[in-house]
Amino acid sequence: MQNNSKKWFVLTSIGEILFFLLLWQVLSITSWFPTYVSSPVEIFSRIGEMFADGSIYPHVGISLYRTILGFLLVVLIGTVLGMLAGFFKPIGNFFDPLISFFNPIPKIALLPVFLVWFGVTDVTRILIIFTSAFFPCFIATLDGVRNINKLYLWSAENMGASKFKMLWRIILPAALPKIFDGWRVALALTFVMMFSSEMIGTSTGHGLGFMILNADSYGRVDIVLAGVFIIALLGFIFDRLLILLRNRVLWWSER
Amino acid sequence: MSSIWQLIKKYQSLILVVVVWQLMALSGLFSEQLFPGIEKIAIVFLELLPTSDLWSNIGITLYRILAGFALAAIVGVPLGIAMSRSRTFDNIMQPIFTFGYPVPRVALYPIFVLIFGIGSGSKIFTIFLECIFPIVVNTYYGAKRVNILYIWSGQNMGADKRKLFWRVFLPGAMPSIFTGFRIALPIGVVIAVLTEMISSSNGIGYLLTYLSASLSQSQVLAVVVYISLIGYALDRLLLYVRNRFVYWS
Amino acid sequence: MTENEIAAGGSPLGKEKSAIKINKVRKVFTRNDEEIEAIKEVNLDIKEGEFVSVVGPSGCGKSTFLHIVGGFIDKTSGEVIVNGKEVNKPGPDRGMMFQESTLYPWLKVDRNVAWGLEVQKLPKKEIKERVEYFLKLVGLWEFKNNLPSELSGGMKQRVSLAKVLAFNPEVLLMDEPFGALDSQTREMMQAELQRIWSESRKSVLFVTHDIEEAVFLSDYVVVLSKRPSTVKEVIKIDLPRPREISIRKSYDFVDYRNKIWDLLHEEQNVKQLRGV
Repeated sequence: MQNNSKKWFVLTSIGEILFFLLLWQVLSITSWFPTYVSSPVEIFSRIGEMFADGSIYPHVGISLYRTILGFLLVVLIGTVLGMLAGFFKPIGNFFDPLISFFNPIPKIALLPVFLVWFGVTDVTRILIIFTSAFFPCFIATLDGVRNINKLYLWSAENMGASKFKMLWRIILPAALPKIFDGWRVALALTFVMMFSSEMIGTSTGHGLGFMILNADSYGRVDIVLAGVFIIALLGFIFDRLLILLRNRVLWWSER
Repeated sequence: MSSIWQLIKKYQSLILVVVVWQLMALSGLFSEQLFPGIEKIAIVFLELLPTSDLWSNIGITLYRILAGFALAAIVGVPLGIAMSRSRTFDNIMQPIFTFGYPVPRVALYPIFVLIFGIGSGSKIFTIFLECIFPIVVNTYYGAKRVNILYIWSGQNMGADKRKLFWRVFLPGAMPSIFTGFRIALPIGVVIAVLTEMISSSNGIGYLLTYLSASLSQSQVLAVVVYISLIGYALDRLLLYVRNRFVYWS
Repeated sequence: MTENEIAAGGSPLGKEKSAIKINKVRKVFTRNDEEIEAIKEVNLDIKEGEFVSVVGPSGCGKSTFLHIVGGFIDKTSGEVIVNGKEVNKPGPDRGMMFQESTLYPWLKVDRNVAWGLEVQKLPKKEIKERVEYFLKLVGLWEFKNNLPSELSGGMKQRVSLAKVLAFNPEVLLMDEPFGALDSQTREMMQAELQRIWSESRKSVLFVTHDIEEAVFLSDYVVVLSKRPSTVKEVIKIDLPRPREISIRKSYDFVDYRNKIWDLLHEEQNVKQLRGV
């Protein structure tokens, strides 16, 4: 039953994608669409070409490098700080006002600030990714740790576990479902910010956002759409990888 | 006296941030242009306050956010409910939301500029596209999780389908619908500012890039404060509306 | 029997008219392409004004049975007849009370009680009167302006009872209505239910896993077998009414209790569980 509905879902999904692409293609051929919107065949042949002549690799590479570095920083710092703040009261009290003050700021607005300070560099880009994605990660972790069933902690204390052991062996696993939720939101934001930071204030360079911006200014819609497609695909693949990891690690947690 | 001390203790981290900022500004390590003191930012903030330049741009941005958000709500809530109630419809729509959710939809913005032009249309559509996902997903799960016993008890008292929908099902799903709204609205603010920064001739995001070109950090930071206030005010407004509608939880 | 006669407190026992008649009800679930027979065959005949409890071993399908009578889930075969009419769907002739509070959290207590009456489109004045009468009956009139979230579990179930009684169903179906309450509140609620029932003399079909509760409240206790369920035995509880809480200590009461306990444990096969 479970397997059946999953198979069904995959089949309908593939069917829908094919139907959508076909419809798009037909509309393009019959020129119902504005002529500047390329057809799927054009876009996919462009993607094929870019992979064949290797011109896409630097863009994908540099974008992935920024994304992964930014995301890892967020995961590392956000999760560790979140756990400490959740577990040790004074640390939590220290962070609470900071979070409630800085979290509501639309972080994208800080991009020009960083641009002035650090110029059009990777420091700016990774900084804007970090400031955007840090908060959901930190807050989800903090929330997860604070809402752990107190009885887990008491029974651990009762059995003489040290603070460090409790943090590692009880709090981390118990809060992990919440932490994964935070990571997932952070990952999505990482991709949005990667794209945005590459599109704003760049004149030369590499990266998918830059590639899109550049093609856009030359009116090459096929390359723009090819770039969008690759970003979408990467975003999707990374999300799936994260879910895969989640299901591996959290096999005991339902969903 | 002790209550003041308590306040200082409570907000020690914020005070620390202010003090460090001011020390860096006063240290002379950076030029005043690049690293203004907080009092400079405050002065620029107040200088901007009476200018029509600021308010017309804020007005345009607000219009875009609210239009995109409202469209997303008007389309998203019925869509989520329909998905939760019809198996076939759910099967058809589910792939779009599963595959579309992790995709940075804002990347399509350049295409929307081609289609809708550089004015408000392209921005509103991008905001709509980003906002509708959390709204649909939260409405869907909320509607799925409406306690079946509420429905049964309504049927038990002889309520027809229409009454069950409007008087049991919809109020039951309302908290989740508002959860979706509260996730979507800040996204709307971010996307509005972002799209205005990428390409626009007006709006608060445009003002921000325009000012940053002059490398005057105090002006940029003052506008950042305004943007934050907009985000904060919109969230408060939504919270107020929510508490009127969902007063029971 | 007309309503006036019920209100006049005419003796319910020995009446020949059926309130609920269950004929050969059977229920088979299909889960993961596998058929599970939950109810093999249940026959029951509940006369007007009788209080009948259903007990059975855990997981025997007694709640499923009640949900079938309520019309919330479909039966595989058989028929349910309420006051001479066969029923397949939920309807206001059978007032249902669930284990969990089904008060709508967005409505104040009095509006919750009025809900069913508004759906029935009763005149405003009558709604007001009935809400007041039944909230006073369960002793919660002064909480009429509170939201359900402000009430305790026991109070919520009392309001639920008022809500069901207010729209004057012909029979009451109760699915472990006190199951989620602590034991002291539960005893109090049982006494309260008995008092209210003896005033209204509705026919009641009451599902519970608590043997003492069944004996204390009922005219008859129906013992179901383990899954697939059949009626194992129907025991007439011949204890005088009104029953005081202290009746639980009486010899007769304990006798009934032990008898049902034995019947249930034959089914559950405690020896097997213990590994003896």
